[in-house]
Amino acid sequence: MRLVYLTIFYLIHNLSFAQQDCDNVIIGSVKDLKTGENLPFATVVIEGTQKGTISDLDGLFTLDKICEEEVELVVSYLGYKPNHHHHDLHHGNPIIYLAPEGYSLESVVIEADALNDSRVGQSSTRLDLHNISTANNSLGEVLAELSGVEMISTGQNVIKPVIHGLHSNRILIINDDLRHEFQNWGVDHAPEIDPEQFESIEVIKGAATVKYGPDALGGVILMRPRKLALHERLNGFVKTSAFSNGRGGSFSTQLNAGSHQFSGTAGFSKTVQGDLKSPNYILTNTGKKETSFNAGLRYHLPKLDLELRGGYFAQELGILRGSNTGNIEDLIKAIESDVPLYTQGFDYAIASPKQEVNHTSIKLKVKYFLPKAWLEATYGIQINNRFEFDVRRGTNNETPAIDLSLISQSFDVDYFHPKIFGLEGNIGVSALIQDNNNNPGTNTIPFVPNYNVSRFGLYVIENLSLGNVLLEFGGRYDWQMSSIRGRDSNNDVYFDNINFNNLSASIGLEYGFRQHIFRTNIASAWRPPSISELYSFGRHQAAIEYGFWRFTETTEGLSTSEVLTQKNKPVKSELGWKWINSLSRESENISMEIVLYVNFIKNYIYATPRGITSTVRGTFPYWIYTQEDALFMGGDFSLNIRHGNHLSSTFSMAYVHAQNLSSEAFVGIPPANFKYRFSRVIDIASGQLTISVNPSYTFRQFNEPTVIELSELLTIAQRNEEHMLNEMEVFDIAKAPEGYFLLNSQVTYDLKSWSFSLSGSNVLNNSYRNYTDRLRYFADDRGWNVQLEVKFNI
Amino acid sequence: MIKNKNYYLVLMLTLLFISSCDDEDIPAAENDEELITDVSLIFSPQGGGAPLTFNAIDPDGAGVENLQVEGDIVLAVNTTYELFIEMRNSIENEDIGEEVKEEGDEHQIFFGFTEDLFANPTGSGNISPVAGTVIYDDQDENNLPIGLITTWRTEVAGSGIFRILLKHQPDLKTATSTSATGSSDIDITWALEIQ
Repeated sequence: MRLVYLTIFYLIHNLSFAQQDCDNVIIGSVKDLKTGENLPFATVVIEGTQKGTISDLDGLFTLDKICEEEVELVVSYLGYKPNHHHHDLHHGNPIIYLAPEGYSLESVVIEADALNDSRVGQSSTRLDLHNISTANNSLGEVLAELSGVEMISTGQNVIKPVIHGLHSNRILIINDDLRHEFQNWGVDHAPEIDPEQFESIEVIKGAATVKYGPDALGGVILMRPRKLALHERLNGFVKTSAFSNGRGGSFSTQLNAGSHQFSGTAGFSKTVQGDLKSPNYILTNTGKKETSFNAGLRYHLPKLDLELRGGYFAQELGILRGSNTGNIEDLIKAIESDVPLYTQGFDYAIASPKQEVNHTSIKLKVKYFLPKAWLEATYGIQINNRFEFDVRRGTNNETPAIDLSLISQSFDVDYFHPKIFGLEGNIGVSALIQDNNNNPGTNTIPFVPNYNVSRFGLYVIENLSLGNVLLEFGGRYDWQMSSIRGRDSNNDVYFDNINFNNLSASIGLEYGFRQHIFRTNIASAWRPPSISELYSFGRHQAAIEYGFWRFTETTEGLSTSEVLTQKNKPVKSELGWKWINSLSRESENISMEIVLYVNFIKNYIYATPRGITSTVRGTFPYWIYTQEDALFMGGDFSLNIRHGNHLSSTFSMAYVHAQNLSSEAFVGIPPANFKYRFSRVIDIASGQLTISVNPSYTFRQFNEPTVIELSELLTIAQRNEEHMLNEMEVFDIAKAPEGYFLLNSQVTYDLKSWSFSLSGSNVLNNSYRNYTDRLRYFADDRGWNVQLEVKFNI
Repeated sequence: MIKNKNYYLVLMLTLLFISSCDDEDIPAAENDEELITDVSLIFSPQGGGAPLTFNAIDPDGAGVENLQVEGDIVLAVNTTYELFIEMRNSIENEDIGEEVKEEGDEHQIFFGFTEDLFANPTGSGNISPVAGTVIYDDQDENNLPIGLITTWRTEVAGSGIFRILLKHQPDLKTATSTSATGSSDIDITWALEIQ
């Protein structure tokens, strides 16, 4: 938080670009890497010169009358590891984080332009992955640490982040400058991102379509790998962990090195986990296997910076066997069973139902520095393959029922112009081409058609600073064309070409006074309907779903014999307006932030129960897609108190209320929660021991839709009273689970290059079910887990 | 020098970009092997006579059209019938019953009927909660019943329901597995009259 403030502060007051002669200026700040506190009286020297200075009480320093365009800064402070930073005057102001001696991490530098994502007035939170054990956790779980971010899951392995009640296609994940392109339409399709490969994650909680393009209705998650730094000797880490629940282990390593012009990095990680265990039974078929690689290379010249990065992540994710069901009666049995059906002994093997996914991405980014301005061009290619295996007859059990390949290519160009009339900002164009194909041989009619998407966007964002007020405004135009080719249930071919376009705008304001910053932002965002919302057709587990263009309403009821088009049944894009306000306060011992927001979404798309159909397999409820305006509102609060040098408390809570305009609640909106973290640092020998305890309480979701139990549904079907379902738009088949208390704790010992950590989650072994887990009907969540991790920093 | 390099780079990227634009590939036609659209009960009276066939059809599979159970089953009194169950995917013209037979070790058909409708078996069938037995005339490789062929004896007149339930029980079918095990591939109920 403070980081962002300082950055903006510098940008307003001190932005300095290279100039001729000896009037270059470097303004920076020095902080403690571990606590984030300002470090006064740190020494800053330009290597090879007599020039130097000392940071002031706020940790700020200024070096002026510099002749060179590139300098080598050496920052040192007693009791801390010194830092060498190659500073290029075309870049933003450096924030130098010094690592205490005996602390296992190296000092780092963040330059202001790295954070210049132009989103004034948006509340954002940054999560530093240094101090979080991510070995056994998915991205969704790691993000859920932040207030206002929750997770929606399909069991224990398939986890997606939720920002302010929105997920999947309504939030964006920017994976190292690229929009992470995957089969995001499915609630059971988690982003294929290994948090192990990243250094920090930032979550923007406002609608950020103007900068990032369509879909960013709820917010944006920015995944940042470690910066490719010049002038650093070989460094990095090797770590390994073992955990009790799932009897798994993981290994990961990342190595970095940089010379005067080149910098490179490479990493690898691997996780293996067997069946997980709830407090009372094994969760059969919940094993997982994950492998990831990444590599990056940077070439730096005074005016040109080239960065090439590539990554690969493969996952095999087991899904609870007892959640695989057929018709309503099967589902009733599965839900009523105290121990999930088909529960067996512990096993590492992963059988159907399961998902196998892999994602490859390659990025090339070019930065070209012009006088007082710069140009950035980024090209990315992402290849995403998804195989889903259902429990099927005979050899089909080994044949994926879903076999999709998605190839996305993006090209973005941004021009950050020189200051004109006090305005700073950039204009950008972005293009995306996507090709989605169903690979043959699934022996089932594809759930979604083949399609190609072309999208172009043009945007401008400008900042204006007026004293201690910073104003930002932006606008964007997007145009998207999709061509679709699919097969209906008779294997007859259908085609369509659909176009969507939209104009989005945002305005934000930031006002700093004394120790406070007030931010407000109103932004519009949009999302064209996804292919699955338009075309999905068929049964998945115990439900049948018909997309917009797969059903027709007639006077005699519903018909699904035809495939419609945009012409005969227009479907509108979702349009969102999110207004977010935040007030934060930073003082010596307290940091605090309060966030309040309202998000109105016009034409919100969701599936609504419509009837019950009888098939050869028995009776099934079916859902159809519909559009209606929706309202999301809520607030997040976080407070950090430092009770002296070595003690701190963090307290956070979040609440979101969501409804459609008929005042019905939606299924699966995260309930209110409350988290606390107490940590204490003790100096032992020449190392540091950190003990933290974090209790949390998640409330029951009281704002839940009407509940129609399955037995009731079956009676409705038997009595032919399906019309009862038409009267409601949302219903759930079971009540929301009770609230629950979880206790996690961690002990870490850092000694020179080593870091040892022992952590326990759900240490009280409480039985609980998470309302936002789609498998909550079938089984309890994970029981206690103990994890031991050893890390060696090179 | 730098400018040239950049120019080539941009050109290369543009080419890469354009090269992947156009394709009009249609997904391959898939043979939906999981789908069963037609189920027929064929009752053949022992000692000769024309077999009686009763159909249930759901031509649109996962579509919204309801299953059509054609007519009520009408059987004669004092007759022993061999029941053969045929199941087909009419869209692909495929015999699913053949597959069920081949993979008999993971399939079983269960039967439910109005109590004491039949003289043999008595009771109300073997769908849980079980209150009777069924005379199976076919076995899988583990000598466990499949249920594609069964025997039924009628004596007195009566009426009620007749339900068949095909369960898919991969790695689950044992001597003690029941109709509660596995997932339902067929679940159809007919009205039945003995006259």
